[in-house]
Amino acid sequence: MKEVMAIVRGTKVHQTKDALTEAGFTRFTNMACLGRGKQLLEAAADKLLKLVEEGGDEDMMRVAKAMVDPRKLLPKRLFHIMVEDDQVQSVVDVLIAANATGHSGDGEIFIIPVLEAYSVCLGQAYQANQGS
Amino acid sequence: MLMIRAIIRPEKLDSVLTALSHEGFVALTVIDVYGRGRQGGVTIGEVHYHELPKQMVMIVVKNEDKDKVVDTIMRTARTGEGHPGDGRIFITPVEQSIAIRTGKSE
Repeated sequence: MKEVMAIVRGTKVHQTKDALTEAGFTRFTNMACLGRGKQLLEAAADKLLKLVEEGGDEDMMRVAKAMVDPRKLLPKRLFHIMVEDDQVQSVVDVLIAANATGHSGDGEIFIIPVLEAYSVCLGQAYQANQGS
Repeated sequence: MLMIRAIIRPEKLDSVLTALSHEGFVALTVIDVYGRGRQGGVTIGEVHYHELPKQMVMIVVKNEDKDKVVDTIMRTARTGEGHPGDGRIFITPVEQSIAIRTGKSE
């Protein structure tokens, strides 16, 4: 069993849920989180440099400086989807199709091995691809 | 690849994020969490707090960068006063990391 952990835009939460449900992945957990990717700081640093060169006005400088601040994070949504090994590729495809916009900040998917899983109500080992 | 999950004091979040970005680790996720450690919460006066607010910093790095990140977090998140509650760092394997925009795995 694998855990597919996906960080997506807050605006794509409904689309992601619908796409997952349509593809048969009805079971998932999601939570609000804050985050940042690799691009944000690089882009902000470039912008700041450019502004400094151009001698930009004070307001813009303040905005640019706030963007380079490592403490600034963007709101995101974190999905945890537990799937069997052979379903990993299809759930990844569904997530990419629902979330790719072509701009930086689309998010990231991590595949993490799961050693054991149990169903609390059945009191037995859990299998992600079974009906109940 | 490894996922490093550090549970730290909320007031230490800013300094941890700043230190990590100085080391070149800018991509990370932060989650509000509530939890308790070995001491089982704290008792202040007559009130016992079973769980305390913490921040979980989640960061995925290459195997060779693990020590650097762990050192940075430990150095900046520690209060140094010997109090319990400075947090924990957990490291789990990550098989694959895929960028949604490009669909490419690293």
